[in-house]
Amino acid sequence: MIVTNSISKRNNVNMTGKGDKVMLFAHGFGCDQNSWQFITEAFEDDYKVILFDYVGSGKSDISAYTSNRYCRLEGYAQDVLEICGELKLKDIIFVGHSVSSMIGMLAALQQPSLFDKLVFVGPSPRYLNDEGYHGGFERADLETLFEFMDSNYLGWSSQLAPAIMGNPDRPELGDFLTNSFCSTNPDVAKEFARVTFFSDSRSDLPKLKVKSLTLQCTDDIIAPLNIGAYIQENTPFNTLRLMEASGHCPHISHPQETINAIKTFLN
Amino acid sequence: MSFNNIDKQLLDSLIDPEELYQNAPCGYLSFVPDGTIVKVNKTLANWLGYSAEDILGKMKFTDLISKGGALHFEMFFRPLINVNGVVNQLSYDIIKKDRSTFPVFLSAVTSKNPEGNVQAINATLYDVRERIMYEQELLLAKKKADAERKRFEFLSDFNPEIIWTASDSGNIDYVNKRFYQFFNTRKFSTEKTLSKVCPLDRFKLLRRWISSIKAARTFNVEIRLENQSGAYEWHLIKADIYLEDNSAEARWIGSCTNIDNQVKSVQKRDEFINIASHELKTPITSLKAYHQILQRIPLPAAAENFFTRANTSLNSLQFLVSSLLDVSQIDSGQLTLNLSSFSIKEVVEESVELLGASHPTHPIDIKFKPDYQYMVYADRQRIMQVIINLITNAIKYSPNANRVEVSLIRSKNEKLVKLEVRDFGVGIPAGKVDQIFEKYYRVSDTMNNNKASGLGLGLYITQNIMKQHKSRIFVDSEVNKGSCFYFSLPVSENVYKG
Repeated sequence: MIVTNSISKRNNVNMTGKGDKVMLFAHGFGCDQNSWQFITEAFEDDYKVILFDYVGSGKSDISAYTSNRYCRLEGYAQDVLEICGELKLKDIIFVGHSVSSMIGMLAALQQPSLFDKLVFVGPSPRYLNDEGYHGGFERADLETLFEFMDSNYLGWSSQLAPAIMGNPDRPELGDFLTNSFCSTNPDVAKEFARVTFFSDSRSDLPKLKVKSLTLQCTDDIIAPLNIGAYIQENTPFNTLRLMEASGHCPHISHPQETINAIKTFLN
Repeated sequence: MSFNNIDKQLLDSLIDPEELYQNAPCGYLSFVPDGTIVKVNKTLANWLGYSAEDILGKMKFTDLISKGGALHFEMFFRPLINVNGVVNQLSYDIIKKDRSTFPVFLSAVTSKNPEGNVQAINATLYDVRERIMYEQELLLAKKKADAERKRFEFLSDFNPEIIWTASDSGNIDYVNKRFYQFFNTRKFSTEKTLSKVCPLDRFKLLRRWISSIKAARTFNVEIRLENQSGAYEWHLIKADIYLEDNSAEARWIGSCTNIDNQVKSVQKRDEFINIASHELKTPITSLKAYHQILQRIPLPAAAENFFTRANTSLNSLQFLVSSLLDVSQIDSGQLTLNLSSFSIKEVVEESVELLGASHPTHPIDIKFKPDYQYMVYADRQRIMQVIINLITNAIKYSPNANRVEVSLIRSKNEKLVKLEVRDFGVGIPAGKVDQIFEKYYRVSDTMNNNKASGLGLGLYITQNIMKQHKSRIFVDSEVNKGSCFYFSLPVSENVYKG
């Protein structure tokens, strides 16, 4: 079912599932709702599954994107709250991947009554190292990531050709093989990357009143092992679940383990 | 031996998959989903500076790339390959054992088990050091070319004239700022621009432009363009071809200069001369008449000399004024011919007789067949004027010579008569030959102390007289050897041989 109201249209909201209880799945940076494709089916019998794309990602309305609003994670949290508002959602289970974990938390701080439970998949409150805190990255590491994104968003041929041929407009994305399985506007992606990786939500963790689960992968370069422990120590009502899955996207690489972990927490 | 008879065993022995894998010109690498490398070929191991044993089971793919690269790998590469089963042309910097890096393009596919789970990822790595070097050169060259283009545009915008360029087929592909200002527009359009050309000049403009393109020859035309207040102003449009190098297509670079002031001042000058010469004609005619009356009255002997001198001056004055009147007629297109059939030989003889008396220094040799009349159909008086002018010039510009030659020559088919006037004087430098037929052009010969005098109209008038006869005066000349002026006229039907 495609919802055609304004916010729902803007955020490309899609709903499936037979249940009443709502599970809202929020994709991480560099992805869109397609990234949930391997696990949502498992919840459709018992829940109403709602998927959406943040403004600037996937099939959202790119014209609604303003740097002013989306230069902070709060801007993205606003997307979540507006979707809940338009669809009149309450007591939902929010599942956020990567940066969406903290976006969900920020939304829950603003309107706790909307949220029943939060599931953080590979969360990190701060990616940069700090005094007494190991986020995993120095600023220079992140700058190289941004360079990589620039040179790898599209295949090589689409990189150099326009520069040489003097085609100032970006070629149609569909004309080239994109090295992203989700369609994301590259300029928005660049800003989203900076907002994500330079964010610091550590001081907000203790304020969270909603129950939450952290799914921590064993070998996640983006959210190292100590991060899960840090979140658990600093967040009231948080459960830490260490997964066998490695990497940063267990819902893609290890869907079954991810489904099991979420179900265990919900029941 | 036919192809079918070739031993299959022989064919198989030609291909050694292991050899191909190990020593391929690209690196091969296989790793399991957690990144642990389980297979590597010799080529890649050599590039990295490791032995296969150092790598297999001990290193992960992310150990070969920077931390930023590893982040990218986790966030983009892995989800992508999990979902799509393939990644294409990712650009990574690979870290070697000695910590130096080199750039590669990496493409990868997954190997899945029957249940559809990813078991391993097979990656192919191309060393792109040289490629990147060439790309940088290419980008640099592009940058240079862009800078050159900008410089040209800046220079051309800086210019007070309109500057334009066109392809070799004549399509205008660039105009400078001045163009947009003059035509008060933001976009170039051929139709709109043509509509601003005075209708009387449009055909001339297009004809000249097309013939210049066809002949790949300098383009030069004066036309009127409508300015923003709706008035026409004269402009000189010029263009020349240039070639960037031998392989490139020819291109046109052109300008458009406002010459309204020059054209109008020339028009005013011509108008003035026209009026002045007409006004002068009447008193000269009166003077001539009084002079003739005076001739019949006996004068004191002392006055005779002055009387003759006055006559000479009067004749010079009359000649100058009639030259100016001729120019006025030519410029206004009113030079008419009084055509008849006559013997050009007689005209030459009359002219020589007339000039011979006043120029004893230069005997004039006439060369023609005595038994032939050389009949032509033309304006007798005008042709005489031309012949007198050419002979006078020949004498004037050969002060140290002692003769002038006039020849009449029939063409082989007897359809044309050619008249040549040859002198043995100062000659004309090659670069000046075209200019001598211009209006008011006078030879400035410093070696000759500017001895040449006159208005500079003689050759202009004679050339135009000949043009009016559908003929033309030509010159062969060599400095310090002399010049030969010649023209041809068609032989008259009414020919008779004496």
